[in-house]
Amino acid sequence: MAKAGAFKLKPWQAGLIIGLVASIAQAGYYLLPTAVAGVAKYKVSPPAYGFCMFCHVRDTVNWVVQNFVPTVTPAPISIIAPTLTIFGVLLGAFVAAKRNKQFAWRQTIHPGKAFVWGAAVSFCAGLLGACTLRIIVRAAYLEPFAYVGIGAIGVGAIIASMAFLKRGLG
Amino acid sequence: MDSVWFWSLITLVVGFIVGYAAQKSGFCSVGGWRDLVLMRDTYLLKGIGGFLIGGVIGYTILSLTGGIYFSSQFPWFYFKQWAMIPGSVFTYKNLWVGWTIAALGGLGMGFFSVLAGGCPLRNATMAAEGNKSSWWYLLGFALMAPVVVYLFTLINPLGWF
Repeated sequence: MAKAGAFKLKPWQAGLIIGLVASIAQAGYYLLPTAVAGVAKYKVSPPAYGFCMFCHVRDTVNWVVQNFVPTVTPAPISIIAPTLTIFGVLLGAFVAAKRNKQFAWRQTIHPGKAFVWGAAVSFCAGLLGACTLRIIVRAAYLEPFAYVGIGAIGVGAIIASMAFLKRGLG
Repeated sequence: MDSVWFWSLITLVVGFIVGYAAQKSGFCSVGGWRDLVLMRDTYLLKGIGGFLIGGVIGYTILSLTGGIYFSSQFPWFYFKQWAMIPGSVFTYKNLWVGWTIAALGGLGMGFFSVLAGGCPLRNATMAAEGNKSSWWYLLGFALMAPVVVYLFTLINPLGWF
């Protein structure tokens, strides 16, 4: 590896790496047992589930809830062990930012607004059944709908950008 | 070794690599569309293409080496045709209803992601770079995720259509 901060990736290169890792991670399901004490035999391997910001965060929260307030029935995979994807992402990005000396506390949009947008994105992700990343993983799984989903996300993003252009940035 | 926790470890490592690559490149799966409209720039948009190609290569390698758990899944279209990969909170019986609802979700996700400054992955990397707004975003995101699932299983346990 090059010196700290010396190398930079182009988005398409990063996309290639992320795509490869996210798809190969699917093989990890082989390492899970098919039944655990307390949980009936479950189906392993939701398709194209190697990486997802929404689903894995939901599973993590589910696992915590399940362990402290066992009143709800979450997805089987999250009863067994929590998915730590989000912590991995935060850790990886933090290490990279520190090495690049790009870490600095700042604030871009109002916290309340950010909270509401986060919840809104989460809600829509629930309807879609994937985040903007997993829909691409699903497209790589060659599911026809995923291409419609990518298109829908693109149209939504273009509408919002047009609104920005109309009203002026900020 | 009891491999239940192995899955957690794998997701942690996968997340680490993805987060590292995303921070190094500024990868964003929604920002590409925004830059296309606002700046006529396809620099970020190529990230989606790279992601897709990487994913197809990865899955092809997996299916050739028998690494996909259910072997009759990978070229999804070949085995399941137009069916959706399950995951949407909206359970349905009619294919077109499912497609429409999910597409509406995608539309809203693109819209709100632009307002929030990037896709969930981009916001997570920005949070790790010290952006306080993104921490609030992630809080809203994480709190809403189970809520929307329970909400829909509550009002729609068997599916309407």
